[in-house]
Amino acid sequence: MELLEAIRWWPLWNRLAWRDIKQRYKRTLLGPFWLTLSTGLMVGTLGLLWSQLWKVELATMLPFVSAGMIAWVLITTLINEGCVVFTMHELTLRQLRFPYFVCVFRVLWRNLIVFLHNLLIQAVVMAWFGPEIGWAILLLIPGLLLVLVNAGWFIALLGLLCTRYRDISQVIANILQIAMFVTPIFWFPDQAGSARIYFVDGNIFFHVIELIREPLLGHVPPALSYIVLTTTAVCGWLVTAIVYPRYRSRIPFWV
Amino acid sequence: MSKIVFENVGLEYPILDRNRSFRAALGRSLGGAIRRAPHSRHASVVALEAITVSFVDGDRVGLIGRNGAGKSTMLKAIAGIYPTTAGRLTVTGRVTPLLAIGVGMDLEETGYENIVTCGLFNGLTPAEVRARQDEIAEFTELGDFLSLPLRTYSLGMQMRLGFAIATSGNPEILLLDEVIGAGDQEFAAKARERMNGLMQDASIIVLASHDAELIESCCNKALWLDGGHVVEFGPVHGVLSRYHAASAGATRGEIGLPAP
Repeated sequence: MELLEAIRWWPLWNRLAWRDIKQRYKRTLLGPFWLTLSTGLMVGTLGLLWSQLWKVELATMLPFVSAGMIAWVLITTLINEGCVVFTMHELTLRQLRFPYFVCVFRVLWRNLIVFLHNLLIQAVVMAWFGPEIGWAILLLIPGLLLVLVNAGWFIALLGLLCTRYRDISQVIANILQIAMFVTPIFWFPDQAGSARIYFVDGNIFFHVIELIREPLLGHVPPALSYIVLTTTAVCGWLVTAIVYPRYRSRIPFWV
Repeated sequence: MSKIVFENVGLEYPILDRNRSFRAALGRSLGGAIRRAPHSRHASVVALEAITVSFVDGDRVGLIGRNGAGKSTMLKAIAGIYPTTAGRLTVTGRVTPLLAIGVGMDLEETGYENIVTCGLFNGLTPAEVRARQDEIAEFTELGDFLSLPLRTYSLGMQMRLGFAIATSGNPEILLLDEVIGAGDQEFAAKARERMNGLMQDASIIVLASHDAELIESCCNKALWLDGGHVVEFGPVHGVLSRYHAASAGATRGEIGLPAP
């Protein structure tokens, strides 16, 4: 119920999300494209390095790394900001009445906007090296949607948990750091060999990335990734429907 | 028709800090009743307990009581900011809480942008915000400053803007935590005038204050709270005089004088 109400409040979270982005880069020349630029630089250098290390052609490595990184940046910022989704609204949550999911939508929307900026990197990389992009790129839309639907429940629950137990955000930051290396972003899923079951197929981050990376590369994501993410979305929202209403009333006191 | 109905309403705050003893001591000195909920590991402050009372059209209710008696909590509960934890609280009518001025404002945004942001935070639609924008801008008398970021404003100017935003529109239920004023003398007079207008038009006012004179002049009823309980609710004069008698007695007791 609160979810529907929060959707009706879209003018507020839309405004807040854009304000966040504008303010981070106020009085800079490139504005939000600074984020794009820094991600782009990282992708460029790492792509070069890894193509040497793995002895893979740059034309194969760079698009793969850049698509993977763009997806990864989206995932990590969503999760890291999910930890502070309620605490960052401390003042307003204590003084004003609005649906708490407005906070969640603000984070989702802001990160989607940043992601769309970052797509520019991929466009450049693909224009340079890329093969023909076919209809599979359209799968980016359902993929993103599925990722965001998952992020929605995850951020709501994570936000609750991190607001109650402040240590958790530290744990999460650590996990994410490790996850970046054990997830196939700088290496190819096939290279995992016999460990594939752990680091690739059994790795939720891999499936999230695949839904975004594969369409960007013009491929169709594996069916398994759709199945996994659909399952987590359904189960996650069910759990949220049970857990969230029990604790939502604590939010203004916990923040 | 506006109405506020408390039916056996309770509201508890969880206390989360590890150093509970310090918190407990602090809480006691402020007057809230601290206790462990029977089936919870955590201590909590009982800010309101078993409140049954209703306010109807025409009521101007003054909330009185010591610090920590639950006055502000009661206002926040009516405003829907703090969820109640027991009983039922029904509020009919458009509520305008003037509890904190300027919350939701952003230093980097211009005055005009802040008018929009705050309006949206208060639950207005973009169209409603647009409809009020000019009136708010005019009331602040800030002129061209409204196109500059808020951080270029003096504190008084920020107060003006906050006040103008908070008091725009016509509330049915007006909630006040002490009476707010803003800015220099000239503006303060204007602010007072607007407050009087709002208080005249509102169908219910709930005002928390330590100022007995203010309560007497603005209110026709008084609700005396202590430790989250209702001590007495009724016509303002009777309740106030008994409250004063009780607090005078308490003070005498504390400093060791015999009660009269």
